[in-house]
Amino acid sequence: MFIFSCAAVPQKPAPEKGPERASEKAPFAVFPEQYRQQAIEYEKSNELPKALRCWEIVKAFQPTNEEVIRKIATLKTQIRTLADQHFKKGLSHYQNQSVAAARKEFLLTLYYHPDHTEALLYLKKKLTEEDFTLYEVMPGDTLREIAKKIYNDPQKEVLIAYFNDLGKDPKLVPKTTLRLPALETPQLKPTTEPKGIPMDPKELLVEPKETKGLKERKEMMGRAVAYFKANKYRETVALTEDILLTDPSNKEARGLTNASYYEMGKRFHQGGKYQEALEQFNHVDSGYRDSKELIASTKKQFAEVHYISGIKYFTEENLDKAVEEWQETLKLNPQHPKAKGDIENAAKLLQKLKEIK
Amino acid sequence: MQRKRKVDRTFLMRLGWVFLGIALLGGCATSKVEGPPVAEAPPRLEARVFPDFVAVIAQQGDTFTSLAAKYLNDSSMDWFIAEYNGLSALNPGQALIIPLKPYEKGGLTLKGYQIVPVLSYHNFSPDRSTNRMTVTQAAFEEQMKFLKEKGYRVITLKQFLDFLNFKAQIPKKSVVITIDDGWRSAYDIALPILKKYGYPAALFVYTDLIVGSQKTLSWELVQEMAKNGLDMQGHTKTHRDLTLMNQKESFKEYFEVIEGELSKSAGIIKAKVGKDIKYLAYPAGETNHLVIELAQKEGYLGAFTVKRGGNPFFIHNYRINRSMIYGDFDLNQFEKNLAVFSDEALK
Repeated sequence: MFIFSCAAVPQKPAPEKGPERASEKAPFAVFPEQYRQQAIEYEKSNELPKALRCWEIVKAFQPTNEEVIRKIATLKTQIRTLADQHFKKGLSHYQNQSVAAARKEFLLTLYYHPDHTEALLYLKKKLTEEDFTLYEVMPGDTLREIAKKIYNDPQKEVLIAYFNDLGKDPKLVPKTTLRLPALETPQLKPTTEPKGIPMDPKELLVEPKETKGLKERKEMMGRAVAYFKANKYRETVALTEDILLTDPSNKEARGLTNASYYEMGKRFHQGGKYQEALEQFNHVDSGYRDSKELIASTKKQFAEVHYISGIKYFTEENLDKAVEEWQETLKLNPQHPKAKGDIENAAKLLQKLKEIK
Repeated sequence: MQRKRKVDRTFLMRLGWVFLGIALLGGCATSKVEGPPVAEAPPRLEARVFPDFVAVIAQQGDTFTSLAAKYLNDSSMDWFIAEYNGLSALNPGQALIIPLKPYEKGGLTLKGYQIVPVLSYHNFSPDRSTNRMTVTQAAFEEQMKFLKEKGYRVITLKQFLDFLNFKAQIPKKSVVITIDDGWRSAYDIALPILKKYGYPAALFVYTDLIVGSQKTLSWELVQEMAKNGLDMQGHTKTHRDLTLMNQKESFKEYFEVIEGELSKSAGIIKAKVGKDIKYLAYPAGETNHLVIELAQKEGYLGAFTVKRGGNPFFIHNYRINRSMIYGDFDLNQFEKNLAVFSDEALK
């Protein structure tokens, strides 16, 4: 209504027309020019997908600019052609088993065409060693026979059943495809010096928890046993706990750790050092030998120490300290016959003292 | 999408006010037409939304974070805007492009490709390191601070796997933090430091260790850590090396045991923490074809070794590299594990 009332004012806004559009001069006029320059730079350095993105930005601001439209069309064709060329080269290298060269070409394919699913598949799956093989069932096949054929071991039928969701003695349909995991020569866990274990070359690349390898662990274990025999329990656990950090399922190290803490706990217990004894027993796996009984006994005796200490404070009229000691008594031995009653009496006394004050 | 539509509507309304303003104030300067709505300045035009990007003129008070929240619906995508525009700081009046979709998946360029370091910790101690697997509190704090000061972004396992699957773009200086086993020190020492810096981390627990002793976590603590943002994942049940068969085991027994190592631990963690377990850290970092097939069959989406090195997007998802951070590392040695780009030129 206002517009029509004013003859001098154009009745419609000017159509969008290139960089000179009035509404773009401030503040958006900067975009097309800036990205045009960037696009040219990227073209010079052959970074064509980046150049294309910049031209697309320019086009968004100048949708009817013929030069930009042509530029985008040309770039798209160039990029598609390059992606196709690199993919073909990648396939050729792959067939010739030139893995590194194939990878480079597939990476270039994805650089030019990020949605190229086949190039991605080659990079992620096909260029690495397959973890499985496919097997087509033949008439008369059973799982045992396939296992014998593929793994040279009929017992491995269990693998075929598991990985193909088959029950026991399934009826196999000819031409069905089965997925069979690839198997390396199984490595046996050593019980003696591991000199007969074949070294997988891949292990040489790994720097595992394994900085303590089998040999080093074995050597540490030997030293730990020697320390234990010499009643040097602290030194023993220093070694066995180190082994367990890298090999927590090492039963020998676990057993020696338990035995060491157990022995240390017992000795502290016998020396009347109940706190220290409990600290040692806490490291022992529950159920180890008679540790449960020993812990209960230690706690009971330690509770008595606190109880007597409480009595001492009580006779010295230090009621707060006495209560603290008896509370400790109850923590260690909730069934203590006197501590609870004494705490209640002390609380009443404290209350009366407060009232008198 | 809703956000985009909202921006579109806002934009059109603002554009309407601009045309109205031009008509009233410019064209009718001599006429005394009073236009009350125009008396107040119309909202400033600060963004134009296109299907694939938003063009923005930064206003006073804008930050990368606020723009990411406004246009990408995710304030943590601040890096996405900063990196696209090659900026480290934002000033009013700056012209920016905010892409609405990934523009460099896999960090792939003609000069090379992005690699993501995954750091592997195990145990921590308050004062001194008793062995290489134990990192002191001071060293861990120093390392986390170093990451912050040098501009690294610690990402989640989910973000990392999206990167590996070539689905998403992540910050150029991305790092993943993992802690193995389930030692108590992960709660006492690592968690407060991770919280201080706002870093996500994954905790790979082997469930037999979670007994709540002086040195190990309890399930209550595991749950508390999960509530605090730690991502609980699998490290088997007993930490048995999955690639080794015991001398006295038949193959069938061995296979059933290792299958149980993966399935039982995942089941226990799910029951205790209430979430599906998707990632596995191999005990001692060891794996082979059979273990990989088993992990896939059991529903793990990715698995981690302890082979030192960063990870390009095309790494095998079940042979992901991790670099162990040892207790005797100084900052120089730590930094050597933080390479984020492989300059293997493609052209």
